[in-house]
Amino acid sequence: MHRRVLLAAGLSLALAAACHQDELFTPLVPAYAGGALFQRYVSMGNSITMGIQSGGIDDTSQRAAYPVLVAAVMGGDHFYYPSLAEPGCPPRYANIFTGARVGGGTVPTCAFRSAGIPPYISNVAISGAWAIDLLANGPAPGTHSNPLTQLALGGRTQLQAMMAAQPTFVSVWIGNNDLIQAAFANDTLLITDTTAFKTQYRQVLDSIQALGAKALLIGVGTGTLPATIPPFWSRGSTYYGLFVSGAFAPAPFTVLANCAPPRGDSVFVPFPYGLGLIGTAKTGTATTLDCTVPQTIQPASAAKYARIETAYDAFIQSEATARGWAYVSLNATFDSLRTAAPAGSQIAPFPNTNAACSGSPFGLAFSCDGFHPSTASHRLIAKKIVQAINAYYQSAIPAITP
Amino acid sequence: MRRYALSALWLSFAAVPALLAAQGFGIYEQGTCSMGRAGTGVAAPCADGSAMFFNPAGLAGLKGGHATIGMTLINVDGGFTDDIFQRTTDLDDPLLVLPQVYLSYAATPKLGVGVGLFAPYGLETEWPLSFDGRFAGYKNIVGSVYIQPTVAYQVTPWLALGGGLDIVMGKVELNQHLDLAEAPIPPTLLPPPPGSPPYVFGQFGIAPGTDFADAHLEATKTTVTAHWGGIIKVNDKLSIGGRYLMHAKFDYAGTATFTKVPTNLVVPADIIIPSSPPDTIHAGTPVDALLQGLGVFDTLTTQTVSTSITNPEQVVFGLAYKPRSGWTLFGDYQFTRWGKRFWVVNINFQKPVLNRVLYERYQNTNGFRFAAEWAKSAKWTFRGGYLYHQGAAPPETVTPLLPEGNRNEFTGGFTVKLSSNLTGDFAFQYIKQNDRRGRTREPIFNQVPTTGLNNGVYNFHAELFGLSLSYAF
Repeated sequence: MHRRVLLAAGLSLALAAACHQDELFTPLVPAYAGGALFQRYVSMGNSITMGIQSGGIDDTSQRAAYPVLVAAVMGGDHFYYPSLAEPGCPPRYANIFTGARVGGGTVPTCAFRSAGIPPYISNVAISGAWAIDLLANGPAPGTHSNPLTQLALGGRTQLQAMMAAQPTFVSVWIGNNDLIQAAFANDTLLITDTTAFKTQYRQVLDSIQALGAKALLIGVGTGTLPATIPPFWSRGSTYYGLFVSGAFAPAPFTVLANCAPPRGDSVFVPFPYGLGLIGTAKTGTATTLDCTVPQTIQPASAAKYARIETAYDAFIQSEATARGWAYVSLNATFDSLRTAAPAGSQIAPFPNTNAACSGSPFGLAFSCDGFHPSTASHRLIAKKIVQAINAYYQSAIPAITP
Repeated sequence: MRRYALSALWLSFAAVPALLAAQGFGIYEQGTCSMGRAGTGVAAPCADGSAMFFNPAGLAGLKGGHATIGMTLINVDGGFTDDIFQRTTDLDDPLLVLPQVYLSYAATPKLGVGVGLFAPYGLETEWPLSFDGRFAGYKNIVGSVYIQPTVAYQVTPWLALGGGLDIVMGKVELNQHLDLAEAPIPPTLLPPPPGSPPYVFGQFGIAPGTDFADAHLEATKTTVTAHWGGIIKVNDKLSIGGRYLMHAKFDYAGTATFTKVPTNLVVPADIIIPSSPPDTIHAGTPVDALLQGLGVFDTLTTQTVSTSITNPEQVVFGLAYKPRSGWTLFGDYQFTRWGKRFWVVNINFQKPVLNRVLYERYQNTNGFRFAAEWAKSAKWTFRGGYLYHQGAAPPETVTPLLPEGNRNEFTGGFTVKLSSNLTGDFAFQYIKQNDRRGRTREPIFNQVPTTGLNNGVYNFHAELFGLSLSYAF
């Protein structure tokens, strides 16, 4: 049963596709008049930008998303996000290890939008979006639409919704799913070819440029792969170290030596799989973690993800430069969180299965799905974005404090 | 053929230029001579027969007969600039022609009779279909043609009284698109929480401004009212006049027809509806087919519709003073009782779920008119004037149907005697309405509107050119 719950958790996360989040919308500092450049801000992206946290989304997590925080200090027009009524769509996890969700909801639970429909949508990001999904919706081949595509945009694409809002400033953070969904599926063939990625990405940028808007392009990563990887995955060597120390005893759970360092440092075990094995062992059935099985990310695959991430980011940065737009990579920010003291407090090397979501089982930097940034991280992202915008455009958007 | 001719006549009189209507949907441009006087003359109407509108008592004391035919060319410019996108949408109204016909005859030196056709109330607003206000109404007509047989009698050398029985043909037409984002989701599919309004398709993600149906409402009604007037000639220099046009209530009955407008939207993914039991809308389902399947169009069938609209009373007092030979000064005050007559409009459909309540909440209006006239010679008479009047619509009811407001208007004109029997009149009028905040949408679920719904600024000005010929016999 415990294993089923964990598998369900993992599956729902995979469906939510690289994307999620919680907090307040009140301006953090007195709003300033941002001028024509920041008159209307629109954010495009995936689950991170949309505000997914803890495997779900609701108005609370949407309000905590970084674009809302950035818009609050930009001082432009009202920033509208497609507010989802409680308990959400799906509701966020209250305890991912038991499968409990906020309000007692289940994965299929999907509340509709809140009453009061805004005149346009500012945060057009959709959970699970790949680059192609900015341009096309399901059921077109190759797209990855989900119920949120309908509930947030009503059948429009992100590009259409962005253009309908007539923005003066756009942020684009896309590409995470083009890369990481392959990792969820343990199939590097699913990675979006860089040529296709570039074509799709350029098409989005051309449309922004045609509007006469300025932009901020955001690199795909939340950490430099493979050194910094979301805590959804733990290293094989971490499992091995815990095994050797007796942490899993007396459960008949074994970690093979192929998980030991140095090889095990480059093998990544998704927590639904790893904890599933441990859960089964706790019922008395012996299980073994083999760091060569396809359920784990192998060193060669990890290296490929790292190469693709680098290639995506290089392309995005070059496009920003060519178009006279700002660019920011958040990798260094998340890399620093990985090493922040006390060790493992921000990005847990191994989830704390005894903690409910309120206890940040994956560390303070990530929400209760091990993949999507936490409210604190959204605030940090927003700070970095404001700094990047100010640095490039010589603007004076107030800093987000604290 | 006769029916066609009558319809054409009705349209000529009732299809009044968009927004020409003033003080609510009142119209005062009922004669070229009077137009040059800024509509003054209740104490001394023009001699072209237009007295039947400006003061029925004015027919008394006329000599012989008068037949007047004329027209007013109307060029309106106006539009709406929305707050959010700062887009300006201009009115679609073409250059319009408003004809005038008056026929009067002095049966005796004291008794004057006549028949007048005039349209003291009416409006037509036409907006492009790209305008957000199309969901409130993109082509709206409220018109009423008054046919007024009139009798006036010179009771004493200083007192004339007149009155008319008005046969009023009214018509109302409303054309609007329906916004799917505001349309309720059938409660059978998704019941709302107890005490809550139904879910709307906007909560299903449908963006505001998604047209899914066109509605055409049209109704007619003929009713009867009366018009009274009196003129007191205080002395050779000063006259005082007044008139009272009674209200006219129309209990309209007509037809509503609906036409589907394709949304061309497609549901992008399987969606589980949180109904009981849960239902699934499959990826690739056209939204139009979904609406059909949900029975959304079941209520949007051709059906009867009824409503009541009342043209309010007009009370006008004024004076005419001749300070010196050839010169006459005019001053009129007009009160229109909108507050009592145009408060709430209930539009009742055969299928009550469609019933609508429009909270108009018009306020009584005051208008002030001033003019001067100079009879330069037996052949030429020149005139000019100014008028100011209030808008009837309160701040929360400035809508695409009638985005009116306070106005300042300037007029000028002249009369030229072309022959012993033929007189020509020309007049010009410039209307400047104060820019006014308003809204493009009606509140959903028949809620009472507030100024919080106002989402932009309406602007309006117009130029009118009047030309008429009067034949005395």
